[in-house]
Amino acid sequence: MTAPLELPHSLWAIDNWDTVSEMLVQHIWLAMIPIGAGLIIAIPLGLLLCDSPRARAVSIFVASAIYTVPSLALFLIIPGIIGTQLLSPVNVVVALSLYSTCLFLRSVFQALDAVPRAVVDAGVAIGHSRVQRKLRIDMPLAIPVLTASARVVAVTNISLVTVGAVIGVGGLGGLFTAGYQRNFPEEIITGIVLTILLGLLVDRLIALIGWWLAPWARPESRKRPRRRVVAHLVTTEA
Amino acid sequence: MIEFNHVTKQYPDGTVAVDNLSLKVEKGSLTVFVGPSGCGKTTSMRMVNRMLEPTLGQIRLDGVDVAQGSAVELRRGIGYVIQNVGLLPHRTVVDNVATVLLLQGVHRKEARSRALDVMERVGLPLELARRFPASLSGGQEQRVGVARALAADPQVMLMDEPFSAVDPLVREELQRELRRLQAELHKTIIFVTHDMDEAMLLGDRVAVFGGHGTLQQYAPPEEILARPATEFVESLVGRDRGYRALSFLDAAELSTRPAPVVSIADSATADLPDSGWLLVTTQSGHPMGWLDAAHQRSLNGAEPGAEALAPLGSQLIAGGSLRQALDAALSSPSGQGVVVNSDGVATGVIGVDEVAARLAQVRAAEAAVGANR
Repeated sequence: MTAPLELPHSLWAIDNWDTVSEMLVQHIWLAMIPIGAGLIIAIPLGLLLCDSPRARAVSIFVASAIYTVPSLALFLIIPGIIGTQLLSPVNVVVALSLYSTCLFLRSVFQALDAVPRAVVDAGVAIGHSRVQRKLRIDMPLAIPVLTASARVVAVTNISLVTVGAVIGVGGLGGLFTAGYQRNFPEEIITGIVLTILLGLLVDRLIALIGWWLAPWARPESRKRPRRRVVAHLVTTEA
Repeated sequence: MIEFNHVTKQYPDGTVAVDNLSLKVEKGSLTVFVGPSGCGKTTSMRMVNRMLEPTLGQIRLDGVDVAQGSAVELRRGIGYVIQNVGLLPHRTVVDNVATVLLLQGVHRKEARSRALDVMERVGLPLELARRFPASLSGGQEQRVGVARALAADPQVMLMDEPFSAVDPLVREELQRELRRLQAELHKTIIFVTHDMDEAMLLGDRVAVFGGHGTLQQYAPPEEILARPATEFVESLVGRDRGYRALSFLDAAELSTRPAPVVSIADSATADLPDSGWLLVTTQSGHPMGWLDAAHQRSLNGAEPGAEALAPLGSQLIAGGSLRQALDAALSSPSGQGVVVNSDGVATGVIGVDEVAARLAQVRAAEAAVGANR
């Protein structure tokens, strides 16, 4: 692949676009698969555990404990547990999925707590079963909070992926290690700039998905037309 | 029919919320549970659809113990309206109204079309159908709540202070709507409120709850006003009791006087009657306001504008109560309450004296009935 644009000065990133784009693609899936995995695990788990204060407390404790394990350590522990190769990208994916799940679980609880009591009460009173209540009321109403949390998790993952460069699977992080070893700042800067751009892009993208999934939470759906009190009084008197 | 048989609800901490409640709500009637907060009225209602389970006793719906069978199925057969409305914020208005139908397994398309019918019936403009609840006014939200409860056409409805969160003007409108709907649909309704006026206005029968969930009196509103069973009921209905009781007396037999009407075109030149007030009407006889001597003089023969007329006050519409008659007389600047027919045309006037005379007749008749017993 050649440079998409004619530029006055040759940029390292463009001259080496093949390598850079390969790292970018790896970076994207290393960061994104864990978000999907985290949501798929945390939402049902959260719905299941939210009714028992005890289960909630324990799961929050475990999640916090896991989250405090440094990422590099986790990258190295995981092969020992699940039997993967020490330098396999799976290790990074599993580690980040674990972090994502831990972060999401907390926000699933928060999202469920934020569902108004009156809404749940009325929902049950008009005949939602337990499962229907969770699927048709609790879960959709959790979307705005989960979207906000997914944006944080995505950006965190995108930056954490770079740590994987130490074990050889770090997406754009590879540019940091290589640039450092060769004492070549332009390569490091390319890595930093692309990581930041990717973070910003994904953040916007998730916000957009959330906007699309939760039409009721959009500002234009919440506007109340002003009551025409004056007009009303005039017509009743006339 | 809803029957409470010796129902008691005691919480684990020992608080008795409802104490040995027995009462029947007849099929097709509206019963109001009224009382101060913490008197057990809401608790009693919530046991009907098993949002709470009684500690002792039994609640029967058309002869069947509600505790039999699934609570979820039971709830789908009972309309429910709560104070905070509790609409699903993530569903459009039409889907909120269709909720129970969808839960019952009705196809989305049919459920929506039935929901639109119900929206129309409760006076909701159909252009609201695709909006989300957050964009509705308080009164509209409450109507959607009522429409949702009615959508699956349940025989029984439970209404928990449904109108207490809206402003007084809207509340009156919603109360009128409910009376109109109930006259049409004849649902069996339990309506919970802490507002005695609302209870008297809406209830076919009123159950007054006192402290610790004891039923103080269960009777038609007229009887509660006329013969409060306990001191507690008396203290609750005490204020304005005499005035409220007038609501239950028909004004039909009130003797009216001919109204001193004059059409607006002739009002500047017409002779004033002894009372000193002319009732100015449109060409078609609809009352516009009162005109006195001073204002008539200032007209100099010209047709009066709105500023020359004193306001009408409230009017007694044919078929109204003595309370409305008295209010019409009291609120009219001339001391004469305007009586109008259902088309709004003035048919006569009444004064406080006529209301008092009619009341005396009623009392005398009641005394005669009492003496014959």
